Amino acid sequence: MTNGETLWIKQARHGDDEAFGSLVEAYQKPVFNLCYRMLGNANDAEDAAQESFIRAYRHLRRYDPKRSFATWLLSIASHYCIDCLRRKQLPTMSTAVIPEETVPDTAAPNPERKIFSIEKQAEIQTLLERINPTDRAAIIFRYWYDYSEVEIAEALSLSVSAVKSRLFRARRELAKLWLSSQPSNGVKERRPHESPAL
Amino acid sequence: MSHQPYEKWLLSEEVISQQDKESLKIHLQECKSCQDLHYAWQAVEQEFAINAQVEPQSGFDQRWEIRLEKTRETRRQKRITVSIGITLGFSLLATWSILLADLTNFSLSSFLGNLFATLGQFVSRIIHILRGVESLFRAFPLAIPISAAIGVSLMAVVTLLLAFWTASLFKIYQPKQGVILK
Ligand SMILES: [Zn+2]
Repeated sequence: MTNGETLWIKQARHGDDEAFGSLVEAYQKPVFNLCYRMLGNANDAEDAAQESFIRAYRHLRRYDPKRSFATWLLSIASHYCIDCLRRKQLPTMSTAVIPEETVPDTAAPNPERKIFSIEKQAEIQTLLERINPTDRAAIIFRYWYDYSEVEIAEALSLSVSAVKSRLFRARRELAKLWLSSQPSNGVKERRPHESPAL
Repeated sequence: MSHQPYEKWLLSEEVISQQDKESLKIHLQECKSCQDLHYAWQAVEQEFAINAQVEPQSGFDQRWEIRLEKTRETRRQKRITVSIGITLGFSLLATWSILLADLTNFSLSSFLGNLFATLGQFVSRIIHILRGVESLFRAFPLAIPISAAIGVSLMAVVTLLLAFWTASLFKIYQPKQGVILK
């Protein structure tokens, strides 16, 4: 967190709306990305991200400045998305269409590579949407935000051991879903010595 | 065949000993299920490594500003509706209490008659008290400035309370200023 952000938080806590607006501007991307990964489409993600900021604005006095503001904000967003998914009972599989302009152009001017990247993203999104919402949030925090198990526990209000078992369960499920989506000989192309774990 | 603890070693971030690594390697050569799980998870993890961040469409902060204003307006409307609801509820309750108090003998003319009689009694009591105070002042002229001081103080307190009440109501129902974003 930068000094500017610390100051904005302090000012926003004293009712400075302009300072909170600066925080919205600074954190819109990570919050939106989390909501998108959780909900699987841009419209729901926009709505959830907006609502998360409204909740953060209303409960800003509850924020403990000793903790990370990003974690606090992402915690609000993830809880909101989990609630949405439970309430709406959204379908576990979607078409996972990613608007082209929202996918970052990763040092690849080649349009074929970009299409490949979009396809990969859609594949990942389809896999994510098929696992339990809280497990999904744990995976997103681990792989998109590089959070440790302790940080995930803090963000999702879980114990560290619960996070460990959720991550294990999610990885197992994702691997099995990936296997079932591959052609039968797709797995045999690799050899055991390729594994970095060994 | 049992796949534990091998599945756990493959899918958790625990650091395993050299001996466990050897044991895992042997198990992977024998067990097709763990082999598949291992390669599948590696493939998924590779896709996660792309780690692409999806961004909102431009103007997110402006849309948030509008949404905050709408939320405030909705909450204000809700507060007004609740206040009106409570007032109406109490009024209805009071009316029903009066009506139900003597429903068997209720008639509009006697109800109005009683109401006027009660009001008349109240006014005559006030006049009676005022006359008593007046006669007291006549008997003890020194009491006048002391009573005046107490009266003025009481009026000041009541005025202040009224002002505070009005200000509170104004603050509750006045919408907050909109967010100005950079
Ligand atoms: Zn096995």
